Amino acid sequence: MKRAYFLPLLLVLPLACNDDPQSGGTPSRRVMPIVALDESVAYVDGTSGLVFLLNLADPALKPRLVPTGKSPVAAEKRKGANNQLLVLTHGDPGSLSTQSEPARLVLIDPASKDPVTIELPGRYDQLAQSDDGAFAILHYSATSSGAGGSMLYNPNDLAVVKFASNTVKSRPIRSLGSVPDQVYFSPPGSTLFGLQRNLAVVLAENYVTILDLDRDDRTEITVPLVPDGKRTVEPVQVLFDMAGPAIYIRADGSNDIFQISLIQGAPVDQNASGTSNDFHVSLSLLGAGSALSDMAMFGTGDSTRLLVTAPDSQQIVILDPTTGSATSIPTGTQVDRILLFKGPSPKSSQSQDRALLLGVGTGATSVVFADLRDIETAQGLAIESWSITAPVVDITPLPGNMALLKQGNGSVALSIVNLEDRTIEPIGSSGLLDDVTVEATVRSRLWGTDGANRLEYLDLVNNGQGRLYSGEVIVDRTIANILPLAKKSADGNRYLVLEMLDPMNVGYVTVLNADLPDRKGARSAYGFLLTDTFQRGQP
Amino acid sequence: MTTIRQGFVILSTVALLPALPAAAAGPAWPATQAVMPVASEPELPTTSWEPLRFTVTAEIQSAWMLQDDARRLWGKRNVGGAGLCFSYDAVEVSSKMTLGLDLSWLATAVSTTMASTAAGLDLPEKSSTQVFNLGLSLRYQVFRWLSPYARVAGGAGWAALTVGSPGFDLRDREFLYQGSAGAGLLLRSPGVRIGHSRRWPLLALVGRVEGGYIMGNATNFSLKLHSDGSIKDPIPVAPVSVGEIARRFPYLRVSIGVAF
Repeated sequence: MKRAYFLPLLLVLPLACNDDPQSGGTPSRRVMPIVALDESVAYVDGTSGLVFLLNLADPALKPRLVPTGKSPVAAEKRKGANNQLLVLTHGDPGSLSTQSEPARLVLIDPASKDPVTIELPGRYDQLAQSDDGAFAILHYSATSSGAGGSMLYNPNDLAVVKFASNTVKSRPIRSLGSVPDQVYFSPPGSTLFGLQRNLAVVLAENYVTILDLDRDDRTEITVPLVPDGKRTVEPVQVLFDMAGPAIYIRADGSNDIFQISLIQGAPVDQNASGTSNDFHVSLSLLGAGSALSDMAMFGTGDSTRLLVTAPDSQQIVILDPTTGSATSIPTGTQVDRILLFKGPSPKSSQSQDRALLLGVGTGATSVVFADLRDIETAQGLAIESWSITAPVVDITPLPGNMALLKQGNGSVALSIVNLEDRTIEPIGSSGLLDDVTVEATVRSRLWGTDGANRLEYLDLVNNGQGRLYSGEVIVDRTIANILPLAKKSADGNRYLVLEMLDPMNVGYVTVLNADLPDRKGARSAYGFLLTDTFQRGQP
Repeated sequence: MTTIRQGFVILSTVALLPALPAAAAGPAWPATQAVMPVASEPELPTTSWEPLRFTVTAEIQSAWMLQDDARRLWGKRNVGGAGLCFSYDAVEVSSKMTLGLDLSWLATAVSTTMASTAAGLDLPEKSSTQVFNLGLSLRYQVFRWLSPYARVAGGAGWAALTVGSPGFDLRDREFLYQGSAGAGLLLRSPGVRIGHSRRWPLLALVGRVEGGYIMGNATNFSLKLHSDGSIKDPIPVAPVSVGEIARRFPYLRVSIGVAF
């Protein structure tokens, strides 16, 4: 009789033995922002360490999965004419149960089968690229969490990656109490003292560091901006004048522009060293007023000048780096942003250096045009102020010496500025307009959404259907992001990718023909981040 | 053994009592049988071990997911299901050996979560199967109350998977087919006649315990955004394949029911 109790036990036991593999805290998925490549888009899943490459020419929109390694922390398109994705990973420091994995920089080319993997000497979390995509510098952010679990590390250690050889070199720099904040690269193809030269300027609080990227064995040059250390300046903007040759630095907290002259010849104290640079530097301060917000360089050779905005004093300052002289010109309004262009004006058909000056975030309701040639002598006669309907919140340069102004507080208002004619043309936009994306490089087309499922577009130039031609496409769900791609896919179409509202974070895009957007030709992919999820062993 | 048998007899008799309309009016218990004669028909024994050809059982099945992909789908190693089985003793091969046929239906449904979202929320996941099986069993009677048997079965049905919350859920349904082989024990009680006429059937309590192995086609769900039909001409959405999931697993099936 007692054995009869075994029957219900048999029923219950298997159900009780539930060793759920997902219990005990499965890591949550962390998907990095979408990256648009030339003809495809990429999602990086931080949880699984996989890149999901969506080839938009594929009718099935089936993603290609590329492993990158553990804990990706940054992903961006490689700059220049490179249709490649760069993924920086932290790797894994390892534990008793997991094997350690080095940090990596992974280079993924949609056209290649295998990615290029470069193992890194440190678990960096910041990635900076040169404009031509030839170099990358990896460094640590100021927060300790950036080191990817490393307990002891040098926050001033940098890694310089040369993509020509896919090699990496650790280049620790001297610390004067700070850590690198930003990295600027000299313009591609620059020469210095007759030799092709690629320089990097690493910005840190109160000092900058100059690296010669072409010569790994050369020591870095550290330039303290505040030698006495009695105040704090935060370098934020760098301009290279490789012909000068000089580097100009604007810093928050400083009323001066820092001029770092590059002088041929090794420093006197490094002559005997094989690692000495073939140039040295000299620091000068160019007084420019107060609260400097932007700077631009124009002219060449001896006529090279710096244009600096000082919004608090409602003036611009022209600096002559050769003499150090400064010419202040009142603007009558708070301008804090400079858009340089070369072209004619309504008064002169000569193409010359000019600038549009405007206040982005200052609340200014006028913009200023400046003729830069001879501005030091013409002063107030060289500038012309134009009223606008609402303060500018953003500006996007467009081809053909045009610019798009995004105006207004709250609701979006748009205007097109013809820099040569000095006309400001408002674009009709109702209060429904929620966000706009400007496709400046390919078609000069403006894409807008109403914050829901309506996509509208407006041709800023004549793309064959007339200038300011507009159209709309209604898609099925809410649009979160608009990504027009730069190049045509293998099927001959150039695509527009709409990243859709995706509360489940499983991947949701709608794809349209960017040149002829039409609902009938639209396709969507939803849930593609779950591709092969049960076979991958990842959530 | 005697204890088990006696217990089973008592259990089955008690279990079948509520279903006895005649018993309410007349005697069904052996002790009272003698004092309550039936006028029109001769007295019949109320319990009998005579063979009963039909069986209806409710069953619970437990399956052990040995493959990683299947464990990820179900969210656990052990998956339970429930169903019904109707069986028929088709051929009496010998006095102790019987060939039986059965038709069964088994449903499995599991709600779990797939860790997926950036916000730390889990992605709801519901997986289910419905399978109809046709089985063939060969049973050997060791005792009247105990018969070991071997059984093969084949069947078909469907598996369904839903991932996500309403409005943003992905769904798919896949055709299934499978075969199984197993062995088990059948226990039965003596039959209890629920009336005094021979027209009343004998009912017996039946229990089965069966273990075996199931092999079926692998499922490859192509999940697609579910549309509630509110959009007249929706933009086509590409399905997503979540990977092939093997269907090979051992099972334990326990059932209880009535033979007649």
